[in-house]
Amino acid sequence: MAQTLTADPHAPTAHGHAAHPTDGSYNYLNYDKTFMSWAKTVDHKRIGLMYMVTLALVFLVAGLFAIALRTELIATNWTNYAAGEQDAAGTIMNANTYNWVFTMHGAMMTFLFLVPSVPAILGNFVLPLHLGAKDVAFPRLNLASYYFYIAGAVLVIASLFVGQLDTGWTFYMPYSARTNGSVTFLTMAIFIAGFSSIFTGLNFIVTIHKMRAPGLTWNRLPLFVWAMYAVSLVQVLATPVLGITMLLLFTERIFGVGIFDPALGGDPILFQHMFWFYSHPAVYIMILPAFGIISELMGTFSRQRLYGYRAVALSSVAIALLGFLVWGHHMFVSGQSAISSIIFSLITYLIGIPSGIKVFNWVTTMYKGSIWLQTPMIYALMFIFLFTIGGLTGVMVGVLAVDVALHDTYYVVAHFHYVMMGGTVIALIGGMYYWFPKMFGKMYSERWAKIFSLFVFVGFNTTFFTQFLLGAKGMPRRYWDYIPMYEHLHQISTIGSYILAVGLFGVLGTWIWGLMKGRKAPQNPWGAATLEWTHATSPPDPHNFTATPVVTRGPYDYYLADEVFLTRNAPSSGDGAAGDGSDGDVPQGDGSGDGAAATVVARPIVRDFKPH
Amino acid sequence: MPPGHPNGVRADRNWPLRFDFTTPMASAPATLTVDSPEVHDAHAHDHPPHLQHHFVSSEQQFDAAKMGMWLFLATEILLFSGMFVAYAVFRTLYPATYEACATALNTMQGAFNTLVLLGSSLTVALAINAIQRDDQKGLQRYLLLTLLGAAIFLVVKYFEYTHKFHSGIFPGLAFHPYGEEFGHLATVPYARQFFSLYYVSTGIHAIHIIAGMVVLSWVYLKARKGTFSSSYYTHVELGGLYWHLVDVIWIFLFPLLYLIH
Amino acid sequence: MAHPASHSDAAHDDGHHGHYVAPVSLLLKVFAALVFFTVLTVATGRADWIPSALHVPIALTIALIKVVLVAMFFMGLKHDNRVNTVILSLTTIFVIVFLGFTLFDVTQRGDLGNVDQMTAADRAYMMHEDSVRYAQTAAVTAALADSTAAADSAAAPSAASPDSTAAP
Repeated sequence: MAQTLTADPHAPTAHGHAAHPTDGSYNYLNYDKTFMSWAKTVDHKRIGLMYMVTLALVFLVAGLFAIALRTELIATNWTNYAAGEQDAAGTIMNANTYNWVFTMHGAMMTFLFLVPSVPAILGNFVLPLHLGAKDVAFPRLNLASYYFYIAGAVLVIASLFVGQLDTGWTFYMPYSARTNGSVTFLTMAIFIAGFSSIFTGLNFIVTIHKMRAPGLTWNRLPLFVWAMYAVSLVQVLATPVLGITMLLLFTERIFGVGIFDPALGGDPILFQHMFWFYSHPAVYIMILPAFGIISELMGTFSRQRLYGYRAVALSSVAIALLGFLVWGHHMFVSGQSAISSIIFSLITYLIGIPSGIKVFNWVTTMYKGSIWLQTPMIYALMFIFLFTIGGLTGVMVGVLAVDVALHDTYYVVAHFHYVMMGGTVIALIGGMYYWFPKMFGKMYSERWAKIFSLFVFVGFNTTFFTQFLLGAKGMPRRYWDYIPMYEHLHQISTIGSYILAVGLFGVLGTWIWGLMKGRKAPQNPWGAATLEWTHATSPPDPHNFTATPVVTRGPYDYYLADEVFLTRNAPSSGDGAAGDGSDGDVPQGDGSGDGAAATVVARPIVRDFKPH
Repeated sequence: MPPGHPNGVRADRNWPLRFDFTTPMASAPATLTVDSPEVHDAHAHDHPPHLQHHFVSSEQQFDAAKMGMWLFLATEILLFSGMFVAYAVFRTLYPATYEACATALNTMQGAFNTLVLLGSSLTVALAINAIQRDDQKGLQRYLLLTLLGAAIFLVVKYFEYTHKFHSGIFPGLAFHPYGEEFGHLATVPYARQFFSLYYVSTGIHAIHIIAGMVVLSWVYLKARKGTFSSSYYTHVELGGLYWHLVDVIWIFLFPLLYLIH
Repeated sequence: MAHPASHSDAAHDDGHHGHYVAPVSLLLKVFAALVFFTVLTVATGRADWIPSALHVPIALTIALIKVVLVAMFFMGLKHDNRVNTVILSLTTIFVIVFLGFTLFDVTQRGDLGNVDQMTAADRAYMMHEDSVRYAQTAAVTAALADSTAAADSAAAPSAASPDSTAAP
């Protein structure tokens, strides 16, 4: 039997100065516990965790805005002006406040949460580990990008106190040139936060090109890395255009330069072109990393090599590049030329092809696989279900004739929430559960995680499926009030959002519980085959690997990784049953020999380890 | 390998990319670099002092830095592309306005500035050439010349701007041309918009010039301390690339704003 | 120490450490070419015998040649890792996509035959028509008002306006 790994992560080191234990007890979390060691860290794992905490706060604030919106919509305040009634006060807020709240919900969720979410948290944490690198290519730039993000976020928070921004997150001209002052604040905030995005993308591209471990060829990269590569391309190529758009909007407000303002000879549709040249690819910035996570989860929890590796990898890049050619489908009713709308509509269908390739390949991976329904896999399945609905309705609103009717209705709202929330956020939660043991060296409670995943699934569909129905019936988006015929569906949707909120708080609870009381995680609880599980301790060493790994196999060659897994984790008795694993603290064998591995390699050892 | 697997792990399925197993494994190092914060200094003698711990070689570090710089330049090009798009759109919409306004700009000042920037590009290239030959004095001399070129560019720009300000050519709503030279623009529709675009694009370009001057001054200070050598001149190379980009942007801005009649 | 993977996409052929050093004479020649093209672009930009439709293409072509010269020799792309050339090309393609789609839309806008496609003459004619119609309506209204007032004051059924008598 061929020895598949030439470098043993636990072998005595070449320099002979392994002064620290290499079992994970000395790790990136505890090697220095001072506050400044975190604030000034250049360690990609710590920066990932800092992003995680910050983004969780942003998500909480923006999510509470969403709950406030849903609560406002729970009852109609319909005013019968014909009968001489006065303006209603609203359920909990007046119309202006409502405009402000939906704008902040959209702007914060988009620019401060969804765009950075997966790359900043999981990309930072996992990418160098996947590559077998010690860090990203530019660690200091990585920290700088975090502080750029913080600066942007602080400005957004500050804008809450300057004035009630009511343009919607899209800042459409000419209204955004006329309304109150916090537009100026927000444009500056987004300009600055854009640097964070650009630096992260730039860093990842260079890291993937230049920092791969020996033997890790492009065709052996985990699909998460491929997805991060595609998304980084989009970040680098699209974000600057948002920057200049915000800069021009800024000058429009300050000087009245007349580039976008029709009253001064400008072209408001040009603003939409420039805005969507960024913001449509930004949709792929949000969803592509989620594809990467799902690819990892599908392979690992089906115990099966991912079907159509190359197709999935290249479809990520195809989506990234095609995503630049379709921005005009947001502008079908803006007044752009009809021939442009037709062309954009046509190219929009093309995006369906690589997306379909991915979904089919994930489903095929499960076929005859040994499916292990742990929480990450449950979220992966949830993702496929929700993303398929979101994606297919996306094709529907991409149809020019249909979109003219559905534009700016709840149908569109439901569509992009299925993709953004049902896609990105669900995948992010799944990925968080998956890498939680690696991040913190603790296991979460599988039982409670599964219970709350049910809340999330039911709550999400209750909230947003009703919105498809509302939109099809003609309920316009961004309306503070509605006529009584929509009331029942709005009520169901609002109740769904409460269930979803309970689910999401529950998810947070399982993580906090896991952090506080969770049992110690073994190095490779899922039997995964990528480097962070096979070669790094849980949690990893400050420098990721005690020795640079040498890669001799693909990322989903579980049957090859099994050997490593077994030689690390099998009981020293060499018992074919590989132990019951009930104590969870799988002994770290020292590679007691190929014999033990050979006897058990045919068994799905991974299933014998039950966290609960 | 076990040919079959009871639970569906198919060892016998061909890895679709199996040809890839012919990787440079043979040359893989047998013993591997080990690093942790405490022991970092212990083997510092293995590495040149500029080599950061997470890189394996100077070559890898230099290539990574250069690629990162090129990606950054890509973002700069796309940033300016927004202004070029705005220019193209309004030139298409109001061709007569753009012709009338472009004639009002001083072509000779623009052409002079173009030559100054091209010259400073040359001196930066010569600075890199000098340090590649370990010519410390040459490096410093050419960096100073580049900074001088940048300064001349900004001075000319200053006179261009103030000359226009004196005739009431301001960006945005303050635009109210008067006087012999520019007075006729008051009757040209959307002239304000042309000059606003002019100020915004040359203004952002000037900010890049200033940023480039800061970067090159910093490189110059490092060069005076003798930091660089033919085996390590990453900062000079990156600063030079940035400076060339500023030049490239101007190569497009100049004919579009000053020349096309 | 050699790092096999880190060099997997590096076009750096030579294993040794040195980089390509561009000779000074080459740099000077490139600079001379750049100066020549600058003079050329000013000259063609001022030449009246060139049709005005060609001014933009000529200026952009010359600018493109200059940029290629700067990128290849001053920025060293000619002897650099090819990935950097790919980055620059990809960027250029996306700028063209951005510019192309937007300009295409601007030139085609109003292709549904809506208001924007009207010529100035159309608009003037329409405004004229409007004003005529408005004047007529006003005249009729005034006449009606007059006649009603007259009818009210005189209370004479025979004092009807000629319009009303014209009706069959």
